[in-house]
Amino acid sequence: MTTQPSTNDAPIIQLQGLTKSYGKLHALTGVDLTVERGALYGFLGPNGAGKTTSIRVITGFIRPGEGTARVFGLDAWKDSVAIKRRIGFLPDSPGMYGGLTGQEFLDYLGRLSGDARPVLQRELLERLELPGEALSRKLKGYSQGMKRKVALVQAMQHNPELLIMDEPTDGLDPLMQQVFFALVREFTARGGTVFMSSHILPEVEELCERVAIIRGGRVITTGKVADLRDGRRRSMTVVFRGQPPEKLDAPGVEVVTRDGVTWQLSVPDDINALLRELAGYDIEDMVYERPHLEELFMDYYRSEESSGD
Amino acid sequence: MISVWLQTLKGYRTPVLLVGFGLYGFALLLAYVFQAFGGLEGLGQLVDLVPETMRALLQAQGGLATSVNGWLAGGYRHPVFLVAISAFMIGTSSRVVAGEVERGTILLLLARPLVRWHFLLGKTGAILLGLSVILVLSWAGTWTGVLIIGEAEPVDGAVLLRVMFNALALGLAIGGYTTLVSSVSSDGGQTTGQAAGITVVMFFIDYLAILWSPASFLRPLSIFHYYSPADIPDVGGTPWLDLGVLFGVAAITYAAAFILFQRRDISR
Repeated sequence: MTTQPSTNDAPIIQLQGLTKSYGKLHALTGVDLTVERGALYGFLGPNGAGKTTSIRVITGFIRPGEGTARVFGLDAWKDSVAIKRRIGFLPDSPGMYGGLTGQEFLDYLGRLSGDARPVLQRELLERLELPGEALSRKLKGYSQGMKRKVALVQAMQHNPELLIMDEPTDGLDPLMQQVFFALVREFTARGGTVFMSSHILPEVEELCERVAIIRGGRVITTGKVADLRDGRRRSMTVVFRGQPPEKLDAPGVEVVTRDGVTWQLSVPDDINALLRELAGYDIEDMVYERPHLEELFMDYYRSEESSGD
Repeated sequence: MISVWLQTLKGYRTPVLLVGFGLYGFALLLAYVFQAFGGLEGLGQLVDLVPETMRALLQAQGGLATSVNGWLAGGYRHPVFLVAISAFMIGTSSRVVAGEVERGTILLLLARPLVRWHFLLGKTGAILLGLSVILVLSWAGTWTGVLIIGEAEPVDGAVLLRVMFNALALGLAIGGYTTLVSSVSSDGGQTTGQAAGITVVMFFIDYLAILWSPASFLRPLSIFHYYSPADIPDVGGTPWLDLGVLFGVAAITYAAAFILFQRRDISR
């Protein structure tokens, strides 16, 4: 890997007050974000929230309006060539030359990176089950899933320091998604940093330690997934056997829905009082889940919407 | 940059060879036609019958039938030649940036440590080499025809070289403004349409200005005004002004394309 001591202490990615407008459309309205070395960082938001625009700024495809975008401590626009020596990039919709074979295309991109046969190419091809026979065929005959695998290989084959991926698992089957997760974990275990956007929340929840949620071109929260869960109310489903109670008196407990004997509750962190109260009833089933990222995400969106109103 | 140049060259080899050998055959045919019409005498009678509007189309009011050189040079103003050169330059140059953005390949290519203008230079360098190969094949077609037919009147190689140089300048000018449009666009089809539209309008302006004197002041606005291969044998020497204007248009438009591509957002 390339070593540049002057920039090694800086955060891998640092966005401060980043804006970008296209005429009257404000794609980014002040993005602040810091990604530290070795992080596996998820960037969440629905379509149109500003994920892809932020990533294109980081990768030097788009010049920011106001604010700064720095990668390895370097300016993402002015120093983009130096930055690109150290990154791997998987765009959301990568195009390929249909007239080239998979191998020719990977070799071409390898040469542009300065290495005709990149160090990790063979291993990645094996892990992602792209055999030589498939690679000798023209890309125009590839399925969507195979193209996605080729795109993943090109992003990782030269062993970059930072891997930036926009919706990386689109088009991958569940088995290949697991292989992808393993590759990404191994990559960070070797000291690499991953910054990936997704709107598939379970995928981010499984893979990422830290996340940022973006909405309307602005990051509305960042932090560790575990920290974001802390202090959040949880969901509990209780199925009573026989007659359910008239009401529940445990502090902080809200009955969200009542469908006969099946109650959906919203409960606080401490559920001891609730458990003591429920002990007085005959219970058939009880499901108590930790909050999913999806719920946190929806909570943030709802609270932002109500504050916006 | 070398990798981009080689890969682009590989991608364009089929159109280069198709257009090149097509024009080789066309140039050969023109040499054959010269003899079939009975040389200068027969051609003189034929050209007298050609209406003024048709001669304006070839932009060869005088030189076409005064010498074998004029006839052969006039073939390089024939609509077949102009359409072939324009189609090659517009078709390839419009894809240089806009086509790559539209296809999404540019996101993978420019994710490498590649300076944008190096990328553009690699692409345009391959197109210019392709244009040169096409012109050399046309020139070879003319000479093959001359050798096969064995024309009594000597053919001046220097004249044909000047004609080729004029054609190269025209091709570069068309490639220049097409690359300029492509460098700021994200739609290859739209770029092709716009560049073709500019070319057709300039050809029409030139044609109209020749036929209709009130519009003659418009002529300098068209690049085709500076491309009169049939007149080169008559005038003699190198048409420096014409070459200067065409190379100037090419230089300015290519330079603008490089600057704008370096600064643009790639957001599609």
